[in-house]
Formats: sequence, C-alpha cells, structure tokens
Amino acid sequence: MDSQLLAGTLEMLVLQVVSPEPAYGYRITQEVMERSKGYLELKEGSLYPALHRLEREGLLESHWVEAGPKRRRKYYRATAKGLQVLESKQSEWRRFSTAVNGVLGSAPHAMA
Amino acid sequence: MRWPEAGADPFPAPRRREPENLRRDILDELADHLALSVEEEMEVNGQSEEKAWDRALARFGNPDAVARRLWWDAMKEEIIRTWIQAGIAVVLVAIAALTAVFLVQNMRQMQATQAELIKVVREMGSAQSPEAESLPLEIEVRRGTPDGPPATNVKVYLSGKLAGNETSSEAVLDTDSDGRVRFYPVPQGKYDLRFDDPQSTMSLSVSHSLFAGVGSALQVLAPPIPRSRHSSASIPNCRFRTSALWPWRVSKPRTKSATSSGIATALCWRDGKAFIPPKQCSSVTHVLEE
Repeated sequence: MDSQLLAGTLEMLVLQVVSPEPAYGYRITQEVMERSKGYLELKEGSLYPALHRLEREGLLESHWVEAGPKRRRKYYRATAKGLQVLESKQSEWRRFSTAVNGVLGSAPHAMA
Repeated sequence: MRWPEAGADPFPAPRRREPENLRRDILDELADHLALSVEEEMEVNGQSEEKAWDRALARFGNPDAVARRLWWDAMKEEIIRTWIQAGIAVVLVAIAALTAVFLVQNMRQMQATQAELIKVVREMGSAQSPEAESLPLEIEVRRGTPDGPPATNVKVYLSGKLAGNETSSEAVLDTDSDGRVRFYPVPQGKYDLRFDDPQSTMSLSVSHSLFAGVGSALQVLAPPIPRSRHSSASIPNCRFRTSALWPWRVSKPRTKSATSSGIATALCWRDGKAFIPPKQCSSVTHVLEE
C-alpha cells in the first residue's frame, strides 16, 4: 500500500485500535495487520513517534504494566478527547471514501 | 544482535529539566516491542534467536534512531526554549558589553577633555601673576576742603580679600605727613574702607570698588578741627538754636556722606550749657534765640 495514504490515516487507525480497550505498540501493529487482512502493515519504527505525539496532544493516555522480570509494557488508551477526534475522522473518512468511490463509479448515489 | 546492547546509550547528553524516567521509559517500551517481535519470530516461524533478532530489527528499523527521535520529540520544546533564552542572554550580554565599552570610552574622552581644560585653565592662571591682577590703592585725606591741610594719623582700615588671601582680612595704615596712605598689592574687587580720625574723634565708613583703571586713587575730606566751642555759653534758663556741620566728605566718588548741614535744637541745661553729641558733628555754631 502507498505509505502516504497510510500515513494520512495512521492517527485514525491507532485511535480506533485503542478505543475499545488499551493496547501496547506491538499489539497495535498486529491488530491493524489482522483487521486489514495483512494489507495495512505499519512500519513499526514509525508507530511510536505517532503514539507519543497523540499522547502529548491528549488524545491518548498510557500506563505501565509489569510484563515479566525486568520487563515493562506501556499500554495506550483513547481519551474522551481522542474518541471525539476519532469520531470526527471516521465521518470525514467515510465522506471522503464515498466521494472517491462515487468518482470511481462503484457507489454512484453515495453523495446524495 | 540484540537491542539494547549492554551499556549502550543512544540518547544525547542529559539536559536540564529532562524528565527523570524519560530515557528509561523509551528504552523499556522499544525493548518490549522488539522482544515480543523476536518471541513471535521464534514461536511462529521457528527461527533461531539470532535470526529472529535480525528479522525483528529489519522490520522495526534502527531502534537507536527511533529512541533518539522519541527523546527529541519529548524534549524539543524545552531545548528550543533553552536555545531562545540562551540567545536572548547572549544578545543582552553583548548589548551590556557594548554599552559598557561605550560608557568607558565616553568617560575616558570626558576625562581627557577635562584634563585638557584644567591644563588650559592652569596655563591661564600661571600666565596671570597675582601682581598683574592687583592694583595699588592710594588714599589722600585732607581736612575741610580738597585743598585743605592734610589729615595726619588718620587710621584707614581696608577690609576685604587682600592679595594672597582667600579669606576676608583687614589692613590698617595711618596717614602720613601728607595725609596719604598706600595699600599694595590690592586684588581687584569691592572693599570696605573705614577712617578713624583721632583729632575729631569721628569716623567714616564707605564701600570702594577697585578695578583696573577705576578706583586706584581716592581723596577723602576729614572734618576740620573745631577751632572754637561756643557750647560753653552759660545763660541759664534760655533756648538757643544749634547748627552743626556733618563734615566727612569723600571727594571721589561722591557718596551720601557729602557735605551737609543740619539744624539741631537742644534744651539748655540748668547750668546753661547745651549738649551736642561730639561724634555727630565737629563744627557747632550756636545762635541764641531771643
């Protein structure tokens, strides 16, 4: 997949994955790949700058969990503000995809 | 290759106000991710640990670079703020230094100018000797009229700033046989002159200005010595009119004490003698009133 397309939707995908329940970075990459049936493969190294930026912006909150001897795991969860942003981005994406589909001819009545 | 390697530190030098656990949190988070990835490679794909690490790192990218970026993202606001503060401080220090240099240069220039002025003033001062600034003051005292006889032994007091003295002082001379006194050197200025005449027991005080070309010579007319005293007329229980001459006169310049006369009326004493205070007049004429 075009990496620019994926980058434009990365924020929305991450918020979607961590909105029902907290998830850690590795789990988020796996979840995105599973839900997209292997089509969307997040570049693992670029996921963490996005996670930290969303956390600084107040869209995510995090906490640490002991994951074994000398091993900690950081879980992320969407905040109320993050959920609002997710909802906004979802509807924006739906309008966008409907519009693109309409242009492409797969959904000629979608823009009504 | 494992990550993080023991003792490795991918971060820049510690910064002031850096959160205490920032580096540890970044390392733990990335290390957990890589460990999970390696575990999956080994369990699901049956890779050896060495191979699993290679594959996990290949998927992840450079973990050192990611760690540094996360650290920078967390610290960049603080670092940029520090840079701005340091820049402002450097600019302020530079302004202060330039101001100090400017002030010092100005001060040195002023000091040089003052030194030059002082030098010029001193040169002017040394060029004008006290003798050049001072003048003689010659005073001639005569009795009655400008052509009258010289008044001898009149004490002349000159008070003011005399030569060589910064403070006010007084010089006293007696008129000689020609009725003259000469003060020298006398700095230019304003003085007070007082004349005490032992013969008439009268005195005169005048102010005198002495400047170049003005006031070096002064003629003073002392009262004539009384030739007769008629106040001893002994006429009991009568009235008489007494006219008295106030005689001190300064010929140059004219002053308020120029020649004048007045009429005084005094009552007879029981013994018939009139009383006129001797300090106020020297020449007394009595006219009996019928």
